[in-house]
Amino acid sequence: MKGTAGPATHVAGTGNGSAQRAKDVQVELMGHLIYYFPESMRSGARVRTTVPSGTAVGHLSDLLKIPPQEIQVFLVNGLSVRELSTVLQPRDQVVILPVISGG
Amino acid sequence: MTYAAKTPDVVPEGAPEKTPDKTPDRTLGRVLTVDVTTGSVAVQDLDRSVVRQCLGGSYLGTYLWLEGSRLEVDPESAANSLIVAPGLLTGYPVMTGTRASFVAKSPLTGLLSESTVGGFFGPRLKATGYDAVIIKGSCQASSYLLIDGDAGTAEVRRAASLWGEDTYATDRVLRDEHGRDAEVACIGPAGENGVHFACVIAGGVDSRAAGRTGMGAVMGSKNLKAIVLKGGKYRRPDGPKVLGPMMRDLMSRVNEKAQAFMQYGTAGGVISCEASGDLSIQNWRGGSFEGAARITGQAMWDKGMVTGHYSCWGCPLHCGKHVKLDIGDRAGQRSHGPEYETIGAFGSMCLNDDPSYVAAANDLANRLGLDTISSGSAIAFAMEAYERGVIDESMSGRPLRWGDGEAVLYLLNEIAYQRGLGAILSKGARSAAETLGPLAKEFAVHVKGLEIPFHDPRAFTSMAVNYATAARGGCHLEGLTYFVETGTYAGSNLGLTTDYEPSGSEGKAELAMKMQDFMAVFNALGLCKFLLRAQVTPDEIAGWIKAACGLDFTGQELLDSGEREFNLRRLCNVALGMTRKDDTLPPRLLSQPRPSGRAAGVVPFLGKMLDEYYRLRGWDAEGLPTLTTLERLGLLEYLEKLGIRRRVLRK
Repeated sequence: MKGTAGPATHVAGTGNGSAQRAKDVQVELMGHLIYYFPESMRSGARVRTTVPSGTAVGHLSDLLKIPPQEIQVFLVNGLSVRELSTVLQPRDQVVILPVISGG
Repeated sequence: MTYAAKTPDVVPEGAPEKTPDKTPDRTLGRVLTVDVTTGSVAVQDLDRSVVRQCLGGSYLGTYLWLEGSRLEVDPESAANSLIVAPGLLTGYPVMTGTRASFVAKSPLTGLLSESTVGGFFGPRLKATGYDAVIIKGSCQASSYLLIDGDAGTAEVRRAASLWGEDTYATDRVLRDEHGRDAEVACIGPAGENGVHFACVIAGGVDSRAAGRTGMGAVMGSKNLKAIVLKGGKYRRPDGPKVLGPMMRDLMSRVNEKAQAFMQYGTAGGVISCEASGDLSIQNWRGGSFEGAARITGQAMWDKGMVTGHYSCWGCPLHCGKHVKLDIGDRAGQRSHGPEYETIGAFGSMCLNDDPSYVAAANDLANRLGLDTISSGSAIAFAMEAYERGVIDESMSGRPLRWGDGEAVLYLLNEIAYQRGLGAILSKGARSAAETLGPLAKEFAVHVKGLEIPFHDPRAFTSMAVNYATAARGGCHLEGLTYFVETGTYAGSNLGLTTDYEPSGSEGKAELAMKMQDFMAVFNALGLCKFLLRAQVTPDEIAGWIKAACGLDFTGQELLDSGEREFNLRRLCNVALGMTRKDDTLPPRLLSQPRPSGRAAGVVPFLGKMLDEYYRLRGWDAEGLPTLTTLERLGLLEYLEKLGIRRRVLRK
């Protein structure tokens, strides 16, 4: 899948059926967070995956196995969400941006 | 001719003070002055109140410079003294207590400036027995300054055979001569030739740089190739053994928070900064750069270029990396690995996505003794000038196309040796734009003459007010406010309660002011700002000072010292003609949003933030500190000293 957007890949999802997939939430990870995923899942500087709807935003780091202190912000449908108990709805689109620093 | 002078014996460790009290002051309180014109050497005791007020490092250096020099001096003349001062905590067993400050009037900006360097140079300077070295005058011929902490001597030695050598060769030759424990800070051809953004390199291939504002050119104007330090004794706290447990606690937090940083260094931030719209692209025109994934630190590891880590003195973060070069004459050789800013400079700013060329450019810039931030800015500026027809091939000597790594290497040499277009670029972006005409000013990206480093104020708008007001010009390190906006450092550590939206202006002025004061404290103490990752607080640092050298401070008193230093440097800028008109950003960053990516569509609302910032600082609408503010900070005496009494009183 390297080099293409490709179909969503389940790392944490609960099922593979198409009925299930319609209820999934699309998650895009950016920056150095992509290095928590195997190279086969990376597309340029992005990783796209899905999680089941009903997941709380604050649970995403556990589910995707990313250290929470490395997450700067969750964008849900383009808006930053600070309330970690926010529950994700079917077809929500989530972007996770990393903490940055550079030098 | 070699001339030497003996300095008085170094005070033994733990020697009783003249007036012992319950918390003995164990700082050195000694300043070495070397007149390199005559070779004469003097040692003076510092008034203890000066140590308490200025701490050390950049603040002490600024204080001492102002005591002995006039702001109007020509930066490239013998009258521009160079002060080298380790921080108050430098050389003590305090994590990251490694930094030394170079203070002088900058040839690049024309402002009184400072630049700090890590590595082993600062601790060794402290070990030789001094809180600061004042270098006056100008050597009659190319020379280096040798300070021997064991013999208690300082001497100026001829260095004719070193003139023209690059920094790595110079470091090697001087270490071969003076022993493995010698530390060297030196300049390359760029400093010798008066490039206005020439840097000082310490540590040879384990490079650390006093990079910014042209301190290498100041050394070059003094015919001073290097400062060599040997011998002496590292400082050890002799009070109750409380520093060790403090450092162990800090270490556990570093281990928790900084793993990725330890692995990849600053270079590992490139891919994430691109994702946040923070990485500067194509001379600040771009919004996204896919190539970031190919030049980020992680990619250099994946490609097998990185050969290992190295550290500053006693630092567990080991953010320094070595790489094996794989193109050009030096293919196969080991060199310093490019840092975040350098990857921005020679990578994304020039649309170059080849890590081999980024590493080769970094190696070349270090050897020539060029600041990579200003060099990359100058080269990206030249590429845009070439694209727009402001310059043509007859002037540049070859095509300067975006993404061409060979063009980057070519221009670095042209700049260092002042050839053709390189001679124009070597005076910095502001000067080059003056030479090349009005259109060039549109895309010359600097503040007060200092090229802006590669964190975009359109992505994190607190950086707009920080860049606009930083004392030395376009500098990220005076504020590092994006660390707070992105969650690397919790603002609550400084009593800030706001959740910051990256693009808004709410609370940004206060954030900039508080971080500037705190970062000034870091520069005075000699600490590395990457400690912010471990969420250190002013109170915690006050505890380290007490444990290490016996001085009592509260965290607030440290911040007050930082505020005083920041205002003192503001007064110097005011005396040199800086006002609100200079507290601005280049047109590209104020009026042209990034076209794509996470920060697309944003320009900072600088005027609003600046009004609020001046009010919080206690400055008037033109940016002059008010009498009330100066009285509160104990800086009134400087109105007379700097000749600005009438200007401030008229308000």
